[in-house]
Amino acid sequence: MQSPNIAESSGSDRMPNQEEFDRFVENYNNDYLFVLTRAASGSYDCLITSCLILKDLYEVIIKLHDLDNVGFNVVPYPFTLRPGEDLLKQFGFNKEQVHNIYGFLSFVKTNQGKELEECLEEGALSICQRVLG
Amino acid sequence: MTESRFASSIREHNTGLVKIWMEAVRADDRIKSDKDLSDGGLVDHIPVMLEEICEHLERDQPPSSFSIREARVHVYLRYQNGYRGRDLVGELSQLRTLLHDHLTELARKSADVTFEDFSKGLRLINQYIDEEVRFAIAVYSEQPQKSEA
Repeated sequence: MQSPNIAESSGSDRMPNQEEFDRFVENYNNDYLFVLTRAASGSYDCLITSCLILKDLYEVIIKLHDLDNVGFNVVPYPFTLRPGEDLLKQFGFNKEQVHNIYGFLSFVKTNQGKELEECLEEGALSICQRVLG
Repeated sequence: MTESRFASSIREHNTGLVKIWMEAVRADDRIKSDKDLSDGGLVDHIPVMLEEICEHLERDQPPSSFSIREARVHVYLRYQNGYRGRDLVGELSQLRTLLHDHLTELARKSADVTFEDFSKGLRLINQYIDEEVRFAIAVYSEQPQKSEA
């Protein structure tokens, strides 16, 4: 994953300019597709953690946009692992891959005892507590 | 808690509300983009958006750009499918009217729902839809390559 370069390029105390923001959104979009691709291949290891990071990145994008300094020259993909079959097909995933992406949601439910969205809402702590006991 | 009752009612009637909404959108002559969509494509994220509205009502939580996740997915999918911005606003207007009518009917039948409760519920729904409209305008207007037909 490559998104968190905005702090490196922006310095510590100034808002990103439009070009930096565009690059950040592009990186986020690439990372989002990467996570979907991982899920599509049935490789679910550590994917919840990746989702946690991506969710935070997406919220940073929304927050930065809210501050009115930058616009959506590049539209960020909405962060969801339930984007719907149509969009997944537009991304180029075939039927089996779509099945695997939804399989990840079942995998989370089985292993965490709750929906992915609930895990993301509760953050890393609840996952760590479950793993560490 | 009256907001919970509003949420329960919307949740209970989710399927029926979505059906009425779809018929209203199909019947609205000013909305053109829906003609290219199947019923499933048109309905899309509306059921989960209703659920998200219910969650806001239950928590008595004012919607923000962060909390309207499903609404943002809805905007993105419409944008990606070439749906016109004005048609997206049109279908959201239909959703607003539908929920307004539903809450009005519920309040009319419930003697213990005060005007303040009713107003509070409606305000929250309006805030949710307005947040989505705000996001939609950003997506549709700030993208240099694509512009509304």
